[in-house]
Amino acid sequence: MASVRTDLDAEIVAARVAGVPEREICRRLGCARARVEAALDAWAARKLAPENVVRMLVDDLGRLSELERVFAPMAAAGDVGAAKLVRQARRQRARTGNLILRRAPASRPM
Amino acid sequence: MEEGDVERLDRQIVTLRALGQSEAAVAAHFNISVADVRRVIDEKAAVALSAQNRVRMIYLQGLAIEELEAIFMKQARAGDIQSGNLCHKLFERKATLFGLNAPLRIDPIQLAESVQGRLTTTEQLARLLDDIQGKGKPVIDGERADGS
Repeated sequence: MASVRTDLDAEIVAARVAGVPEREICRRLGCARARVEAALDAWAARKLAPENVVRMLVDDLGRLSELERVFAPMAAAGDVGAAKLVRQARRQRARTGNLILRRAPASRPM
Repeated sequence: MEEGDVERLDRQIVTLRALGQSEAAVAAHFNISVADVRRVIDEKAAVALSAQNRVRMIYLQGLAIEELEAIFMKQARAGDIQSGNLCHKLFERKATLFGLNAPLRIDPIQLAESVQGRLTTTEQLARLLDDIQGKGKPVIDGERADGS
Protein backbone atom coordinates (compact mmCIF):
# COMPACT_ATOMS: atom_id res chain seq x y z
CA MET A 1 0.00 0.00 0.00
CA ALA A 2 1.37 3.42 -0.90
CA SER A 3 2.15 5.56 2.10
CA VAL A 4 0.21 8.77 2.49
CA ARG A 5 2.22 11.78 3.59
CA THR A 6 0.50 13.94 6.13
CA ASP A 7 1.33 17.29 7.65
CA LEU A 8 2.20 15.47 10.84
CA ASP A 9 4.69 13.31 8.91
CA ALA A 10 6.24 16.46 7.46
CA GLU A 11 6.50 18.03 10.91
CA ILE A 12 8.08 14.88 12.31
CA VAL A 13 10.66 14.69 9.54
CA ALA A 14 11.48 18.41 9.73
CA ALA A 15 11.99 18.16 13.49
CA ARG A 16 14.25 15.12 13.17
CA VAL A 17 16.31 16.80 10.43
CA ALA A 18 16.68 19.77 12.77
CA GLY A 19 18.11 17.34 15.34
CA VAL A 20 15.16 17.08 17.73
CA PRO A 21 15.20 13.67 19.48
CA GLU A 22 12.29 11.30 18.86
CA ARG A 23 11.22 11.48 22.51
CA GLU A 24 10.97 15.25 22.31
CA ILE A 25 8.99 15.06 19.05
CA CYS A 26 6.52 12.71 20.70
CA ARG A 27 6.10 15.18 23.54
CA ARG A 28 5.76 18.24 21.28
CA LEU A 29 3.39 16.70 18.74
CA GLY A 30 1.52 14.50 21.19
CA CYS A 31 2.07 11.27 19.30
CA ALA A 32 3.49 7.85 20.09
CA ARG A 33 7.05 6.88 19.31
CA ALA A 34 5.77 4.24 16.89
CA ARG A 35 4.04 7.00 14.91
CA VAL A 36 7.30 8.96 14.64
CA GLU A 37 9.20 5.89 13.50
CA ALA A 38 6.50 4.94 11.00
CA ALA A 39 6.65 8.42 9.44
CA LEU A 40 10.43 8.31 9.15
CA ASP A 41 10.37 4.78 7.72
CA ALA A 42 7.76 5.63 5.09
CA TRP A 43 9.62 8.73 3.90
CA ALA A 44 12.99 7.02 4.03
CA ALA A 45 11.70 4.11 1.94
CA ARG A 46 10.55 6.51 -0.74
CA LYS A 47 13.65 8.69 -0.66
CA LEU A 48 16.04 5.76 -0.76
CA ALA A 49 14.25 3.87 -3.53
CA PRO A 50 16.75 3.02 -6.31
CA GLU A 51 15.09 5.29 -8.89
CA ASN A 52 15.21 8.23 -6.49
CA VAL A 53 18.85 7.61 -5.65
CA VAL A 54 19.72 7.61 -9.36
CA ARG A 55 17.81 10.87 -9.81
CA MET A 56 19.72 12.36 -6.89
CA LEU A 57 22.97 11.21 -8.46
CA VAL A 58 22.10 12.88 -11.76
CA ASP A 59 21.10 16.09 -9.93
CA ASP A 60 24.40 16.14 -8.09
CA LEU A 61 26.33 15.59 -11.31
CA GLY A 62 24.49 18.60 -12.72
CA ARG A 63 25.42 20.70 -9.70
CA LEU A 64 29.05 19.64 -9.94
CA SER A 65 29.05 20.72 -13.58
CA GLU A 66 27.56 24.01 -12.47
CA LEU A 67 30.40 24.50 -9.96
CA GLU A 68 32.86 23.82 -12.77
CA ARG A 69 31.18 26.34 -15.05
CA VAL A 70 31.30 29.03 -12.34
CA PHE A 71 34.83 28.45 -11.14
CA ALA A 72 36.67 27.34 -14.30
CA PRO A 73 36.96 30.91 -15.64
CA MET A 74 38.29 32.07 -12.25
CA ALA A 75 40.78 29.18 -12.29
CA ALA A 76 41.84 30.12 -15.81
CA ALA A 77 42.43 33.65 -14.55
CA GLY A 78 44.91 32.29 -11.99
CA ASP A 79 42.80 31.80 -8.86
CA VAL A 80 44.41 28.83 -7.08
CA GLY A 81 41.41 28.20 -4.81
CA ALA A 82 39.07 28.08 -7.79
CA ALA A 83 41.47 25.74 -9.62
CA LYS A 84 41.51 23.34 -6.67
CA LEU A 85 37.75 23.40 -6.49
CA VAL A 86 37.41 22.69 -10.21
CA ARG A 87 39.83 19.80 -9.91
CA GLN A 88 37.92 18.33 -6.95
CA ALA A 89 34.58 18.77 -8.69
CA ARG A 90 35.93 16.99 -11.78
CA ARG A 91 37.30 14.17 -9.67
CA GLN A 92 34.01 13.72 -7.84
CA ARG A 93 32.10 13.85 -11.14
CA ALA A 94 34.38 11.17 -12.54
CA ARG A 95 33.79 8.93 -9.54
CA THR A 96 30.02 9.22 -9.54
CA GLY A 97 29.83 9.31 -13.36
CA ASN A 98 31.88 6.14 -13.49
CA LEU A 99 29.21 4.47 -11.39
CA ILE A 100 26.55 5.41 -13.93
CA LEU A 101 28.68 4.04 -16.76
CA ARG A 102 29.21 0.82 -14.85
CA ARG A 103 25.53 0.43 -14.16
CA ALA A 104 24.40 1.31 -17.68
CA PRO A 105 25.23 -2.01 -19.46
CA ALA A 106 23.29 -4.02 -16.89
CA SER A 107 20.13 -2.03 -17.61
CA ARG A 108 20.43 -2.42 -21.40
CA PRO A 109 19.04 -5.54 -23.04
CA MET A 110 21.86 -7.52 -24.62
CA MET B 1 10.28 -0.13 39.81
CA GLU B 2 7.87 0.98 37.06
CA GLU B 3 8.63 0.75 33.35
CA GLY B 4 9.07 4.51 33.03
CA ASP B 5 11.55 4.53 35.92
CA VAL B 6 13.54 1.70 34.36
CA GLU B 7 13.67 3.58 31.05
CA ARG B 8 14.81 6.74 32.84
CA LEU B 9 17.51 4.86 34.74
CA ASP B 10 18.72 3.20 31.52
CA ARG B 11 18.92 6.59 29.84
CA GLN B 12 20.94 8.02 32.73
CA ILE B 13 23.34 5.08 32.57
CA VAL B 14 23.87 5.60 28.84
CA THR B 15 24.29 9.35 29.31
CA LEU B 16 26.95 8.94 31.99
CA ARG B 17 28.84 6.41 29.86
CA ALA B 18 28.61 8.76 26.88
CA LEU B 19 30.05 11.50 29.05
CA GLY B 20 33.06 9.29 29.63
CA GLN B 21 32.43 7.82 33.08
CA SER B 22 33.82 4.31 33.49
CA GLU B 23 31.51 1.31 33.82
CA ALA B 24 32.66 0.83 37.41
CA ALA B 25 31.91 4.47 38.27
CA VAL B 26 28.44 4.29 36.71
CA ALA B 27 27.74 1.00 38.51
CA ALA B 28 28.83 2.54 41.83
CA HIS B 29 26.76 5.67 41.17
CA PHE B 30 23.53 3.69 40.73
CA ASN B 31 24.49 0.91 43.15
CA ILE B 32 24.24 -1.78 40.45
CA SER B 33 26.74 -4.27 39.04
CA VAL B 34 29.07 -3.64 36.09
CA ALA B 35 27.27 -6.47 34.27
CA ASP B 36 24.02 -4.50 34.61
CA VAL B 37 25.66 -1.42 33.11
CA ARG B 38 26.96 -3.50 30.18
CA ARG B 39 23.54 -5.11 29.65
CA VAL B 40 21.86 -1.70 29.44
CA ILE B 41 24.48 -0.41 26.99
CA ASP B 42 24.15 -3.55 24.84
CA GLU B 43 20.37 -3.29 24.77
CA LYS B 44 20.47 0.37 23.77
CA ALA B 45 23.17 -0.27 21.16
CA ALA B 46 21.14 -3.10 19.60
CA VAL B 47 18.23 -0.70 19.10
CA ALA B 48 20.29 2.30 17.99
CA LEU B 49 22.36 0.29 15.52
CA SER B 50 19.54 -1.79 14.07
CA ALA B 51 19.22 -1.89 10.28
CA GLN B 52 16.02 0.14 10.39
CA ASN B 53 17.60 2.85 12.52
CA ARG B 54 20.57 3.05 10.18
CA VAL B 55 18.25 3.58 7.23
CA ARG B 56 16.48 6.36 9.15
CA MET B 57 19.83 7.92 10.01
CA ILE B 58 20.99 7.84 6.38
CA TYR B 59 17.72 9.37 5.26
CA LEU B 60 17.85 12.17 7.84
CA GLN B 61 21.50 12.95 7.15
CA GLY B 62 20.73 13.04 3.45
CA LEU B 63 17.96 15.56 4.04
CA ALA B 64 20.16 17.69 6.27
CA ILE B 65 22.87 17.71 3.60
CA GLU B 66 20.35 18.70 0.93
CA GLU B 67 19.16 21.60 3.08
CA LEU B 68 22.72 22.86 3.39
CA GLU B 69 23.27 22.36 -0.34
CA ALA B 70 20.23 24.48 -1.14
CA ILE B 71 21.62 27.32 0.98
CA PHE B 72 25.24 27.27 -0.12
CA MET B 73 24.75 26.40 -3.78
CA LYS B 74 23.22 29.85 -4.27
CA GLN B 75 26.34 31.49 -2.88
CA ALA B 76 28.58 29.15 -4.88
CA ARG B 77 26.74 30.13 -8.07
CA ALA B 78 27.60 33.73 -7.23
CA GLY B 79 31.28 32.78 -7.22
CA ASP B 80 31.96 32.29 -3.50
CA ILE B 81 34.81 29.75 -3.32
CA GLN B 82 34.19 28.87 0.33
CA SER B 83 30.61 27.95 -0.49
CA GLY B 84 31.78 26.06 -3.57
CA ASN B 85 34.19 24.03 -1.47
CA LEU B 86 31.50 23.34 1.08
CA CYS B 87 29.08 22.21 -1.64
CA HIS B 88 31.72 19.90 -3.04
CA LYS B 89 32.25 18.41 0.42
CA LEU B 90 28.50 17.98 0.78
CA PHE B 91 28.24 16.17 -2.58
CA GLU B 92 31.12 13.97 -1.55
CA ARG B 93 29.55 13.17 1.82
CA LYS B 94 26.19 12.43 0.24
CA ALA B 95 27.76 10.15 -2.37
CA THR B 96 29.53 8.24 0.40
CA LEU B 97 26.38 8.10 2.51
CA PHE B 98 24.27 6.67 -0.31
CA GLY B 99 27.03 4.44 -1.69
CA LEU B 100 27.25 6.40 -4.92
CA ASN B 101 31.01 6.50 -5.22
CA ALA B 102 32.27 4.01 -7.74
CA PRO B 103 35.27 2.09 -6.40
CA LEU B 104 38.59 3.20 -7.80
CA ARG B 105 39.40 1.03 -10.81
CA ILE B 106 42.33 -1.14 -9.93
CA ASP B 107 42.54 -4.23 -12.06
CA PRO B 108 45.00 -6.74 -10.53
CA ILE B 109 45.38 -8.56 -13.86
CA GLN B 110 46.33 -5.37 -15.69
CA LEU B 111 48.73 -4.50 -12.88
CA ALA B 112 50.42 -7.92 -13.14
CA GLU B 113 50.66 -7.54 -16.93
CA SER B 114 52.18 -4.08 -16.71
CA VAL B 115 54.79 -5.34 -14.23
CA GLN B 116 55.54 -8.32 -16.46
CA GLY B 117 55.70 -6.11 -19.53
CA ARG B 118 58.43 -3.94 -18.03
CA LEU B 119 61.69 -5.46 -19.31
CA THR B 120 65.19 -4.53 -18.26
CA THR B 121 67.53 -3.22 -20.95
CA THR B 122 69.41 -6.56 -20.85
CA GLU B 123 66.17 -8.45 -21.42
CA GLN B 124 65.25 -6.06 -24.25
CA LEU B 125 68.63 -6.68 -25.92
CA ALA B 126 68.29 -10.44 -25.44
CA ARG B 127 64.82 -10.38 -26.98
CA LEU B 128 66.08 -8.28 -29.90
CA LEU B 129 68.88 -10.79 -30.55
CA ASP B 130 66.39 -13.65 -30.31
CA ASP B 131 64.18 -11.92 -32.86
CA ILE B 132 67.15 -11.47 -35.23
CA GLN B 133 68.00 -15.14 -34.82
CA GLY B 134 64.40 -16.09 -35.46
CA LYS B 135 63.75 -17.22 -31.91
CA GLY B 136 61.20 -14.54 -31.32
CA LYS B 137 57.49 -14.86 -30.65
CA PRO B 138 55.46 -16.94 -33.07
CA VAL B 139 54.03 -14.76 -35.86
CA ILE B 140 50.84 -16.78 -35.83
CA ASP B 141 49.82 -18.98 -32.91
CA GLY B 142 51.75 -22.23 -33.19
CA GLU B 143 54.07 -20.91 -35.90
CA ARG B 144 57.55 -19.41 -35.51
CA ALA B 145 59.20 -16.72 -37.58
CA ASP B 146 61.79 -19.22 -38.83
CA GLY B 147 59.01 -21.45 -40.14
CA SER B 148 59.26 -24.14 -37.42
